[in-house]
Amino acid sequence: MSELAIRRGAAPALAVEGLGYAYPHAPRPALADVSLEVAPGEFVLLAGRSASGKSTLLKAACGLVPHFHGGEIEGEVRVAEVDAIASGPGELAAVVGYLAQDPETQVVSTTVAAEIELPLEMRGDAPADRARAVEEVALALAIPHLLARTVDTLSGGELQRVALAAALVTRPKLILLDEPTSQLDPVAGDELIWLLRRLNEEWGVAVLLAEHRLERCLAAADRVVAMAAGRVSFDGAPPDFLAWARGADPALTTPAARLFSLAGIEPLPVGVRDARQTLRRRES
Amino acid sequence: MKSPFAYQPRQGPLQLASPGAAVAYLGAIVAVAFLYSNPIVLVAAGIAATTAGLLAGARRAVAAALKMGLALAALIAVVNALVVNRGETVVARLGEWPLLGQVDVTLEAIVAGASGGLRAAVAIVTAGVYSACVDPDRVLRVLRPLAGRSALTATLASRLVPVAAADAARLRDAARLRGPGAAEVGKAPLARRLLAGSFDRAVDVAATLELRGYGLDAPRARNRRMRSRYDRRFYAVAAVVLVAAIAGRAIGADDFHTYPAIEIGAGTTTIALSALVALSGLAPLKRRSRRRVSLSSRIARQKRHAPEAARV
Repeated sequence: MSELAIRRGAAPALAVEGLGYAYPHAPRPALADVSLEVAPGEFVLLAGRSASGKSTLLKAACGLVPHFHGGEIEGEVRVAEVDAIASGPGELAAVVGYLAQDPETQVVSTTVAAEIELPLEMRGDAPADRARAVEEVALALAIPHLLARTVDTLSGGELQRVALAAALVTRPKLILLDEPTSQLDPVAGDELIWLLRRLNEEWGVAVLLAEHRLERCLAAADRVVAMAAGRVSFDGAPPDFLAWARGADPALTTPAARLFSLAGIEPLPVGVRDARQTLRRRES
Repeated sequence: MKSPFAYQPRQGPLQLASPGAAVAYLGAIVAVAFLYSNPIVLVAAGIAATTAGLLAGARRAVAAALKMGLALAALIAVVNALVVNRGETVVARLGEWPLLGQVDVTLEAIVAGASGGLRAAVAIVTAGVYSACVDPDRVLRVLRPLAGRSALTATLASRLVPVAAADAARLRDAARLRGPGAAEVGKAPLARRLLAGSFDRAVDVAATLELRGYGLDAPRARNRRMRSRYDRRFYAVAAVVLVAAIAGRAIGADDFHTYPAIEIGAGTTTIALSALVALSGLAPLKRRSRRRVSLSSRIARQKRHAPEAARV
């Protein structure tokens, strides 16, 4: 029995049941009958085209929907056994972290240290505990050298790491990421994904990552959930997702998978290593 | 390019002091400027603010604030000279002006305006030093339990300014990249787009604040760590300056009249007070620490010399 299967027996990091949601004055719902579970320590990739409901689902999981955006909601969302619909984003901050696309609007302090410390200060932690937690998360994200700097001197990649540190400093059970690499250069984007994978493995934090550029993160994921028109259209392992996407929505497949598909090579590769192994097997 | 008034973290006494101590110290200098009209005392307050800024490492902020302050002082002096006809020493007769009538520029009006301008310059330089040396995060931390809404507004505003500046630069670049054949995009449409975008940005920043637990009614942590070893120094200097300024005023150290003729008091009290105020600018001076040799470097040095000792 795999470690993930054992963890699946524990209380889920995220449990969504029959979730439906419509933004205020929206002609149709953004989410309809969404049911989903993320096990503790699982790395789940949320795929789908624009306006498929990925961001709204993430916002529902951190309490921004409906508490911040308003609108009508039905169903159930529980994060580490905390009711996300009854609790606000502030109360949920202890169990869930959220990282959005734009790093510039995700920092609210002048210095990096103050930014990372803010959630702990809001929670009422003692100064010594705050200092220790800030140092720990800065070391984990390889940013101790940034702590004394002001946020306006940071690059986009550094800013995104600082925002991630602020989301992780409370040691949440689940971290939600809404296209965190969309404004980063390819190198910084890859670094962020592998940093997430490392934190997922070392800290056991569950990850729900919404991304458009799947080739970057498919290899890091344990599972893929695809969404279309506010509903879950696929839920399974990365190789199965590629096989499904080839027929259902080819735009969601990776460039390498598309190339393999055109060349008639099976199975479709999840990452570079997979592709290399498949090609080597064919040669031999 | 970063604003010269933007906060820059440094390990200087003024930066390490708690916000209360820094505000008390800089506030005392500004208080002197508002209590006195005597140019000697005002110049001393200006020297104090400038010295404090330079010692705290805020050279760019001091330079920019001096430029702004002195320009404003000159403007006030000019305007006062044009609108006030009092004074015995007429420097120039400029004839009849619309709205102003007969304009006679007097030396007394120029000096009175310059004195007011000097006061404004001292306030601007002190504000510049405050902005560059006092950590706004720490100020907001102090403010939050006292005035939550004001702290929230200040947090949102302070974050939105750099975000709006970055957005403006991007919009300008996008407009330029439309190519030479494209119609030029005016400032008004750009400003409109920026304003429309800034509402979305404000919502995003507010959502981030919400996620950080800003709306929580959790017990606020005790901020014992915020006291600094420099606090006592700044509080003491502020108290001495304020007491001396109030006492000096009571015994006539602010002897300065511009109309009908200029009289500048330069008695012992005024000079002593000015010297004290000017010297208060040295408060952010960092005491040079005695060089300490760590245990590890002592052991390393002993190891280095050990073979030589054995040979001897």
